[in-house]
Amino acid sequence: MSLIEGATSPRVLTDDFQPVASELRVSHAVFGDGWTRLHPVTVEVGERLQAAPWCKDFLSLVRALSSLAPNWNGYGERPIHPASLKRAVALLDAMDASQLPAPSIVPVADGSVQIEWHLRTRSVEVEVPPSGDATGFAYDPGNADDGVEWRVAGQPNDRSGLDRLVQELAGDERK
Amino acid sequence: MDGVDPSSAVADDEALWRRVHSTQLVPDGSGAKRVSSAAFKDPEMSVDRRLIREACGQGVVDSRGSSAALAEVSAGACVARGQECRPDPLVENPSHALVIGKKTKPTAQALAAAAQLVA
Repeated sequence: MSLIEGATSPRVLTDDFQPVASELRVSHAVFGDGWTRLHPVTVEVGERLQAAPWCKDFLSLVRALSSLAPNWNGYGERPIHPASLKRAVALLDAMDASQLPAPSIVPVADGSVQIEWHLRTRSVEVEVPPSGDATGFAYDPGNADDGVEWRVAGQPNDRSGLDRLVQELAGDERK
Repeated sequence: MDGVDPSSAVADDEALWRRVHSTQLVPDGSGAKRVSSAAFKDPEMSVDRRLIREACGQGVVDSRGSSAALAEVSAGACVARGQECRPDPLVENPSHALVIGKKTKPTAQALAAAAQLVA
């Protein structure tokens, strides 16, 4: 599956963000964090994620986030970092999320993204920064103070935390 | 401005307004929409004091671009989570204030849960 018509590789064109080499940060004053819009960025979509019934809708959200301009909510927000989007998609593919409920993906002011599931008796959030560990947070609606946090993954092949994520989501079904 | 000082301390019972981007409204699991905790993570979170805006005759916060909604949370709810609500009036926006403090995941979620969509 691809959102690029005619393409055969499992890639989706999200937007035109491209990192600017440090010596070429001519737009730094405008965009504030060294990112500008020059060239396309592709996000690989693995086969497991492609099998999810909600994949197309999810990728539409990814595309929407990738196109957010600086100051996207009027509070000085950073544009969403392409690495956060790529890592979020890779994380869902790695956890084999195709059998899970449809997630949401939302922007964070610092350029990160957050994947969320809000189920009947359980909410699970995963904050995915451009680099470093993604962190999970699971809680019962109405009582976030009893929630639990854990490290989800720092690298695509690092499964630590992914199983916990699936378990937390399955917990809603057990109640 | 009807005798309301924009620099006055923020009372716990004051309503604070914050714009919510359309992409930060997510399904809540029951068919409705809720505000994501992602909307409440800024350690220096800009808000507008409803009291000041109404005294200025400004009404609701202007929507900008894709900001789809306006969330209202009480200053008391912020203070209860260890946040400081500090007046920060700007020339162009006398009602501006800051909710200052680290927004842990439980805190951001608590603020999102306390928020009411008012517009």
